[in-house]
Amino acid sequence: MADIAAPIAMPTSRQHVEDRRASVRTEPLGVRIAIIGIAIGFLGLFIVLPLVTVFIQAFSKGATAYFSALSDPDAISAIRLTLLIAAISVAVNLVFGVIAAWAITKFEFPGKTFLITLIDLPFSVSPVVSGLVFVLLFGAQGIFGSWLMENDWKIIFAVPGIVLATVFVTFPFVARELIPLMQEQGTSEEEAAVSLGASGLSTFMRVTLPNIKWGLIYGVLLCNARAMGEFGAVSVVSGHIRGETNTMPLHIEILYNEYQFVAAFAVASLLAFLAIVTLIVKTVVEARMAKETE
Amino acid sequence: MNIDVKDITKQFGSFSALKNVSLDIKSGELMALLGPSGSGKTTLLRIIAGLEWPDAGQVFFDGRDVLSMTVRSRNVGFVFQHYALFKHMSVFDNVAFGLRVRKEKVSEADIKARVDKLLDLVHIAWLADRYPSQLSGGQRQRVALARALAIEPSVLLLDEPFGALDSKVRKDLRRWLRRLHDELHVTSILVTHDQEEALEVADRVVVMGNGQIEQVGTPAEIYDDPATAFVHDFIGETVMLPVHVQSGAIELNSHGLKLDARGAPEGPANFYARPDDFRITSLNDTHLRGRVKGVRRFGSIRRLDVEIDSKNGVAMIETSFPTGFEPTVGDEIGLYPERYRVFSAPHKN
Repeated sequence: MADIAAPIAMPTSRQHVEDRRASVRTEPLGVRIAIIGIAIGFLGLFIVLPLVTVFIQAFSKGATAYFSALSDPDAISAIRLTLLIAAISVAVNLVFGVIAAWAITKFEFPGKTFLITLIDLPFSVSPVVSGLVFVLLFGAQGIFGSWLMENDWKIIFAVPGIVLATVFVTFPFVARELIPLMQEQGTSEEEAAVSLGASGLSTFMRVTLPNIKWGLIYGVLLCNARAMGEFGAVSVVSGHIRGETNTMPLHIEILYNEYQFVAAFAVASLLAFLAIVTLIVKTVVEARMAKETE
Repeated sequence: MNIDVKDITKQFGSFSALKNVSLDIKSGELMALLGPSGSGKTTLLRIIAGLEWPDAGQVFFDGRDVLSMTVRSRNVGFVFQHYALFKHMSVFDNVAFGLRVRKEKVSEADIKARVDKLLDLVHIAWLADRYPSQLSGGQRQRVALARALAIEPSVLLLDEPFGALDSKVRKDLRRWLRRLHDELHVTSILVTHDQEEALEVADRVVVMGNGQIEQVGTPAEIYDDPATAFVHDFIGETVMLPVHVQSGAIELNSHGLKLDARGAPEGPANFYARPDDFRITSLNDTHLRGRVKGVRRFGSIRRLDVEIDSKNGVAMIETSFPTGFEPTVGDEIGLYPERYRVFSAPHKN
């Protein structure tokens, strides 16, 4: 009986669910369309349109102008410097982010909450301030300034200063991504590993790292995007020396101020392209993370 | 491996988890640490494992002081309540983990043979290629056990191993664990808050409360001969009446039923018995006299709620009753405690 009755009963029960679902959405059709329309319109106007404009402007004088702007020696030097800065900052923040997250989530020590708050500082402080801090520390008039001059070390208006400022600004990304993840995972897998005879390093490599892999990649990705795009802090410490201390964002600004719009947008299109790639990889990583935590 | 725990004390902030705990565990024995949450049983287990360090005291494995040794070198198998399986590894790799990370290299062929044997032992050979997320709770705990046994531990420590499982699986698994222990004879300590589990599985049971050991004994001793009021209260069902010890006797009611105080000191005390310890008698004897207030039957358990006049006013006694005797609410019956204990009452401030 039940076998026969089931197919007939199915549509009615599904209908019932549909009805119930519809009744939960109490807003009339017009309101729904308006809300969705506003959301999409806003996104289009403020995000998609500018992004498209970057590419349109970059190619407004044709592909030749675009590629010649990119092959300009100053542009190439800016791209190189940006890649170098990003590589160093990401590597440094990867190591220290993992260490900080490890310390905070796996051990108990006094001042832990303070440390967690401190990690967020670069997010809450204006990038200009972040840059100025390093000028005050290492600049000619700074605390370590004269000592650095005597030893012929150049930090401000040189690559080390840009690295410092970028590391500072991008520090929270990896640590922030890992702390909640590692907190949720707790320490029991690590405890199991050491009780089975694993050393600290082996526990980290075989147990901890695989568990935080996707979170780590996610953090590195965001950290990298920010490191390449950082303007404020870098602008303060760089000194804008063309071909030497100009990163891509700084180079774009200079070109723009000199009314070289095509060149400015050509370099900007690289950053925009990076953003899009980041978004795609981020989506893939998020999907993987969701799958693993299932 | 004999385990000797001597005067262990452990504080967490202002909370003392363990107060001067000493315990001997004999080689090859399956010992249960039983107690309510917060009694310190898990802390004691983690100290024996080396996952926690005591503030004072000593732990010996076969006379060797192990507090100076790390977890790594103690060679203990630890089974966690929530399994703590390595999520990103297959069942096989989980079990093989301990063999792969040890200092002396084991060949992959030997590892394969060992792991296959262990998976057979815990009856999950067919799950070798699965991942922990694809297993049921009972299967996960079997993997965790196989993983702990892989390193041929000198001691097997189980922290509420069945706590997260439903009651049917739990019963099956704990009987199976007992059989496994009879096969392997590895010295084992099982932490549990489930008295049925402890009493059924263990050779000896340690009852813990408030960071102290209340009693150590065989399951029968613990149930039949509770050493303290705490143990009587915690294990099985308890009927408790406040009494007063005078010239070595207690008086349960105003009818003059006097019982021996069983060595309890003079002064305020509590009378303890189990519902099964009462015999229903005729009203003519000078026994406890009471009025039936409720009749309950659930499954094989038959219970009466009897209201009696105790020295300190009205009290309720829960008692079992034999088949063939069909009381109704309102009946007057006589009761006689065949077995009971008297513990002196703690002074109330």
